[in-house]
Amino acid sequence: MSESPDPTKAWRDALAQGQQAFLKFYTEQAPGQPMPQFAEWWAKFGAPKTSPGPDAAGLYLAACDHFFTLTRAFMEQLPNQQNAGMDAQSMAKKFAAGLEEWFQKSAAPGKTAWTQGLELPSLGVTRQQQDLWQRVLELTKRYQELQTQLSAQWSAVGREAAQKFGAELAAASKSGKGFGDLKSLYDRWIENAEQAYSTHAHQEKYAGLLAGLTNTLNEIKAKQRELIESWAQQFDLPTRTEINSVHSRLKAMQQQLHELREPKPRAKPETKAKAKPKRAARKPARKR
Amino acid sequence: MTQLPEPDAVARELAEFGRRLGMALPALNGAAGTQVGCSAKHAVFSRDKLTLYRFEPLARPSGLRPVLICYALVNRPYMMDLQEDRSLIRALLKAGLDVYLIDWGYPDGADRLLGLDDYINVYLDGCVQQILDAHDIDALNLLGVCQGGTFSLCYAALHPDKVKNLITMVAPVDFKTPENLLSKWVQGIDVDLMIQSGNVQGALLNLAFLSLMPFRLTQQKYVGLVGSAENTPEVENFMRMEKWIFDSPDQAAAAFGEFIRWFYQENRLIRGTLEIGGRKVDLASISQPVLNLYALRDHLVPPSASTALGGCIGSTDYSPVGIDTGHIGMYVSGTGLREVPGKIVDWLHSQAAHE
Repeated sequence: MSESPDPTKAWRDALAQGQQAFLKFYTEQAPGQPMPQFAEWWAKFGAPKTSPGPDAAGLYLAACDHFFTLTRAFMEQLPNQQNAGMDAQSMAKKFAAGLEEWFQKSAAPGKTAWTQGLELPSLGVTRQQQDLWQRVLELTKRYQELQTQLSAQWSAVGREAAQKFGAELAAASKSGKGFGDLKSLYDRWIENAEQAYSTHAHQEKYAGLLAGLTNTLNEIKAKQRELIESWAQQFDLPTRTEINSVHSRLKAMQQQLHELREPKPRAKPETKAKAKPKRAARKPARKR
Repeated sequence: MTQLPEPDAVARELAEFGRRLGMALPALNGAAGTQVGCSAKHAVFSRDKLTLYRFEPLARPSGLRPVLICYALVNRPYMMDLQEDRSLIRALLKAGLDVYLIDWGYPDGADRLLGLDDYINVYLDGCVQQILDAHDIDALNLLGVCQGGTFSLCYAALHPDKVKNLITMVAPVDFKTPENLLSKWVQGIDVDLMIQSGNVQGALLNLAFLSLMPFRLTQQKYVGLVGSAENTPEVENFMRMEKWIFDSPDQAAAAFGEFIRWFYQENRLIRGTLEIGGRKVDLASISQPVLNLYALRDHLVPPSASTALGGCIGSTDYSPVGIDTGHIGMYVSGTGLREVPGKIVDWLHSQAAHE
């Protein structure tokens, strides 16, 4: 145990030391450059463009960044001079509250006002286009509302995960069992978070929100396509609708061709049908 | 005082974490070109974007009928042959089996109208016919994986004379069991609206799969890699899996719409109301022997979704086998590779003995 009168200092030093190791690696790779965020780092100096998994590596770095951030949030809740002498359960509760606040901050949705001008009727020769735009805006507003509701669900997940985690810490403390290292603590956090998430994710409300978001987003795409197609028609450019129509005709013709080549055998009365050798009875594969 | 890690220990751990993280990044770069797929194979048939491969033998022929592996449309089939020490196909080849594999390819905008009738009665049937003709046999052994297992069930019901033995692996049959999170999420989706925009992007499906266990799959997994930073083969294994997970073909709009509506939303297969290509898919008409392999810790296809098969088929020779692993673990985990190939080979031999 450190002799320092303020235990927080020791934790902070520990975090700084851990990050220093990464910084050292970074500065060797890019001398004189300021230290960017992990994701930026990857974008600048990451895998070559031919890499099969740049997204994965980006995710990897983001996860590590998350690990450091989570650790930092964890550090801030550790015993210091202000809460010295606090009992284990109060400490765990305080820790859970801090973690919950951090989670909510990181999951807070952005808000944009979309309400103005949506009620005005469309006028003039571009009335149809105006209607479409208006619908897109309405849908975007709807999408943002659903997104906010989903974020609230995620906040609830974070709150419950933090509470479960805090309770587990308190229970471990009470029983005298400890967590050997930060990685074990982190793994317990993940486990608690998954459990909390699973409870919400299985509920009808959550499924309804996901479906609502998906449907709204798909309708936005459909309306935007309508807008783009109306523009394309002005210039006699082919549209997706026209290509789909051609595809449908082609498919129907392929089917007709197949039926002409291999007409369907007439159905025979089952009772009078003679058994044929298996090889001959086999139906040929359908060609398109 | 809570029993938290000692600051000194934390300092050492974080320093070590930082050091390993520093090593992991170049290790990841080094593994960027890691190859997937290991066993020699050659194309024997193709139609549109589909290719049927036959694997080169690795042992004396077992004398068993050829095995056709029907993989899912989601993700790529090389998962079955990822690397030498993680390959279900390789294990089957070493047992002397003659293995064929369907690669559905990457559908594009021109394939958006392909429906389940095309996939099952044209493409899958075309592959089966090719193999039957090449070997001059009446029926083969069909092994369907995940969604490919569901397709195989439909195929066996529609073309029972062409399938001698049927093996399903992590194949959903009842799409509405309480544990099926994916199913709960898609119930409210407007499928017609969704496919109006064309094929469904593979990335979107990936997002859905990751959302099933977001903390584990988007955070913990990557943090865990730091621990393997010094182990090049492990980093390469990680990259192979990563490549496979995110190598997701887009889904042909019509087939996707039919699969979601008919199977997930309306559960037609188990209810006996499914029709494909104008013909009823009756699971009760599956009378051939069936080996049903499912994963006990499957988060994508819960065991209950697979084991429901037992009560629906007409076969009197039905063998359900639960393996203590997850969905993907069936093909690549130590448990999966220890148990699955052996069960398949033994079962096929025992069936052949009865022919």
